[in-house]
Amino acid sequence: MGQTGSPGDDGGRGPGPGPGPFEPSIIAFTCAWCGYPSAVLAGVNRIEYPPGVNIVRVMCTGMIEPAYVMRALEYGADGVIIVGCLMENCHYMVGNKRAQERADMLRPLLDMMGLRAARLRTEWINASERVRFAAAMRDFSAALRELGPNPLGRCGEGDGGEAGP
Amino acid sequence: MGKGRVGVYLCTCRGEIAKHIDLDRLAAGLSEDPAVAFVRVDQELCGPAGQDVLRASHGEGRSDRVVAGACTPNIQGLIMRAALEGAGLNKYLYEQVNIRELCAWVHDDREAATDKALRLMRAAIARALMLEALDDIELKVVPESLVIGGGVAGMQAALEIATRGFLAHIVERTGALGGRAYRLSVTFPTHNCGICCMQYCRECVLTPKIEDVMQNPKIKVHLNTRIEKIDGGFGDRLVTLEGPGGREELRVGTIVVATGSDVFDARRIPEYGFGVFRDVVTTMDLERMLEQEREIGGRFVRPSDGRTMPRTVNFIQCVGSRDRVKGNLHCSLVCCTYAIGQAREIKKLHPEVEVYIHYIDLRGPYRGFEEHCEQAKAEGVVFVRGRVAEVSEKKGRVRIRFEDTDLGKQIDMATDLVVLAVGQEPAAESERIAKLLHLQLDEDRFIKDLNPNFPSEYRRGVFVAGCAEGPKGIRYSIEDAKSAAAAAADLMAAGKIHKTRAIAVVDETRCRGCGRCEEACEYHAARVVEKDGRLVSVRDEARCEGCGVCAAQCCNRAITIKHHTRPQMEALMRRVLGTKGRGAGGKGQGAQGEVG
Repeated sequence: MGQTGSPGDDGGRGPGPGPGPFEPSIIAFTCAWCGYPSAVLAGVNRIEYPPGVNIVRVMCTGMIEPAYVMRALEYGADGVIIVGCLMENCHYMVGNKRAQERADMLRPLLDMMGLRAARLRTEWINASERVRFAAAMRDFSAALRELGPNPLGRCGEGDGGEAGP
Repeated sequence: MGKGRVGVYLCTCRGEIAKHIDLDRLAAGLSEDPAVAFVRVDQELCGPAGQDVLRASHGEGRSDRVVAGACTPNIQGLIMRAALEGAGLNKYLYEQVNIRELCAWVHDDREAATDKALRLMRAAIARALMLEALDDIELKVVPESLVIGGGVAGMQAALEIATRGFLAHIVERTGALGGRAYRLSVTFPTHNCGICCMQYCRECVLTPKIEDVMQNPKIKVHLNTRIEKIDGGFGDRLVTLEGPGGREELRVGTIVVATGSDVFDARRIPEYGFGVFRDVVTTMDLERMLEQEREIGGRFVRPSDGRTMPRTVNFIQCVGSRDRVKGNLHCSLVCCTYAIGQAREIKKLHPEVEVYIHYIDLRGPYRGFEEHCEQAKAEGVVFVRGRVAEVSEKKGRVRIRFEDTDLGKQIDMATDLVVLAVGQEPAAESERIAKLLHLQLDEDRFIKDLNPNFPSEYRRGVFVAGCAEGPKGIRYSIEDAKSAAAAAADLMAAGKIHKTRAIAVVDETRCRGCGRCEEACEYHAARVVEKDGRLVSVRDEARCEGCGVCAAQCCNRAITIKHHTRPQMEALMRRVLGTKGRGAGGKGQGAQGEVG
């Protein structure tokens, strides 16, 4: 953090270990059919949520491999939230169920690794549920603020163990 | 300006984005990225002038891929991408970040919004470097159509398709065409039966529309037939029918789903006593009574004795509609209209009968409804605002207890006939059909049609029409069927479609043929076959939807979703989280994402 001095390079985590509130950096995987549109609608309706939420669009939450979640944490995300279609209503039939199964499997592992299960959340919503989307982001961000920064990010300066350029 | 290959465009969105994001700082920050060839800011990239800028600028040849920071990629993004395609850009080398809805409009803090835009743009650039140029998949469209359901919508769709010169198969579950509209005695606003123009025609079977369908050489009608299975993919589907003549298979290129709706079962609201008190009927029962009354006479009688004509009739509106607890939350749209129509019909046949309509509020989303209402009032129909609490029976007469909110009074009155205006709900079969076709259901369990703004190919040749998609009047069902049929006919007329290449591919050297992908694929696109003496998984390009469930399921990482590869995803995440490493292509799967 703060190595480059270039703004925007710190995953939205603010000015590093100095004073000031800790602003969690979040990867929000959103599916193209419900998650992403609800984020867009939150924007259209100007419903605020913390700027630390980085939205990553995927076709279906079913394509999110456990490794993606681990990578996100390894790269220094303080939390990962997976936002897809309502259960029973996945655009691709069962992609969200697969995603939920994988998340359920990963959570205990995150605890075992000392990363805490609470860093991974899933949220199943309708494309039109902009209020709920923003609320989920605010809620998750607040929970992470409580939980504190990702220990990996702090130790490894968030570069996943690889040298910078 | 850098020496990179990525052309970066930022849109101020006529000031909308510029108001909340410091675009100068964003442009400057992005220019520092060695991957970036240039950063250009425009007022309105999706407008004609903006498109000219995109075309001219890309035409200069300084960039081989493009990242745009603008609004949503799903709508305006398609316009911008098309403009760039016109200047020779492969559409798979285009990436758009929604810095409007995801940054400018949700963060009050200008600094924070700008930082976030910078992060997302840098991440998109990192991903763009990993993108590879691809070609769309071209699929042939079989020039035959399947219409599921032979109600008004299905018949209309089949007629339109046949008119355009394509063969249409109507598959109808029951033994007759016409659907529920055929069981209606009068419809709004013409006061005709649902199908023909001759007013009270008993022999509706021979009415023009059904006859048109039956006689059309381009329409094949399959009655008493059930759809067992639908196989195949976009443009070429194999449909297995189970009918009176046994099993039959059809090969069709397009499908119109016109499965209609069911009426609400009034037994689910026990306090109205339907099925318990004989003088409580539904509006569908009343249709039959009115029809026979007109044709035979003497049939408008109390069901409890079969002889006496009811002197008072009470309609209860919103039975099963707008009722989250015992019914459905949605408004069925047509009940106010038809109940008033029936009330007027009773008044017309027997002006001495007292008719009351108990309503919460009157809704008729049709032009002409207001006049319909006014006329009913003039004809003596009494409208009572307020919910009916309970229907009971005493000494052989039904009684209703209700609140008249206009008078502010609780009233308990005896009546001769209670008519429940039942709403529409999804047809019992619609969920099964939706599953077969991989269609989503909406919050009311109707089949969800895609936003009409989306490109037609998103529908994969499957169109939903009529009440299958939500409660509708006959007129609107017919309009709906026409538009679905036109879209289907357009596809078949083109004869081929382009489908995105962003689907699964299997690296056969890594695949061990375990079959986990085959189990996971809902579209039956993954299949394990024997090849050169060993088992490998193969993909059917027409069926694969590119959801990526199989890729995530594969323990061997043998499956990649084109355009959504692992290195692309990792590069994006790495950059968005501020880690400096670029070119994650060195990790993971190797050369997949490396370009140039």
